[in-house]
Amino acid sequence: MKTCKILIAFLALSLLAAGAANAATDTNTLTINATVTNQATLTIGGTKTPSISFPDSDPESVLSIPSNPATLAVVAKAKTGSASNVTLTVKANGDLTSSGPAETIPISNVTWTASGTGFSAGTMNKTTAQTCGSWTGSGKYTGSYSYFLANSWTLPVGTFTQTATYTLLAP
Amino acid sequence: MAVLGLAPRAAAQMPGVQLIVTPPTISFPKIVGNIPVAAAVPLTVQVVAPGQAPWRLMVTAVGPLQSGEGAQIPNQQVSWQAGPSPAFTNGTLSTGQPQLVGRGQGSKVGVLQFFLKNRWEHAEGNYSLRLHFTLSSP
Repeated sequence: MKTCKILIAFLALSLLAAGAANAATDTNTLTINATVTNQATLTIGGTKTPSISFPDSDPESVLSIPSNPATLAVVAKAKTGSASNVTLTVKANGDLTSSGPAETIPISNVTWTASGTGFSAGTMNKTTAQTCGSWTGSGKYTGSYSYFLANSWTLPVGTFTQTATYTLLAP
Repeated sequence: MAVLGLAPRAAAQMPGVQLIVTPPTISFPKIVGNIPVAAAVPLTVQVVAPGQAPWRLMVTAVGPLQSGEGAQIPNQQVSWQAGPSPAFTNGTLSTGQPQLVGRGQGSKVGVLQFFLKNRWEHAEGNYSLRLHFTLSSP
């Protein structure tokens, strides 16, 4: 019985050796390189030049006038270092000014609320850029802003306009 | 370079298979936006097999695409389109899991075009990845 086992084992080893002798392999190594550069792109309200308006409202009933449209969707996309800060800021280019008689409404009367991770609420400022979004690392960040104009009986009569510049920075 | 079996006498008698992969390095162009990018040049894979000897070609990724700063891009975002069919097949990399590149009989030349999915989640950096191609003939 012991002899039989040894014989079987020998035959098995012989078969394995024969199979290995017939097998052939060859290998090659390929190196793949890729470079990801930092970049940023921002859309607000689905466009590069969105606009909002505030309808005339009775200060007795509407203290804070919501904009039309009520919200603007924001998509901030950035590629940067995994530990780098991505920031979104807004700076008004002046006060609200009328095209007829020279009247102004302080831009600080315009505020916004925010939804979405990393997006923040604030008040428009014409001298200092205000942070309205902040994240860490690359990604596609989505949220929305809702704008309001503080209403009062002291507001001058007229049609007012102003622009504000949003800047997305991915260092 | 072919490796033939275990027994020196058998190796001397058995014809081998040979794999030639050129170029040894491929690069993706600078990645901008979210458009998939193709490697600058395709990869040529030459299988040399005697007669109608059957063969199988596999590729294994050694780790993910890794930057010097430690950022990674998953291998699943690297794929290739291969030809001519049916000897060479399309596929996607998988870390540590050999993926079939082709199988056939006799000598063949295939062309592989590699693609990298472009994601905003990719961190800035210079990435590198090594692939091992293994050609075997039973």
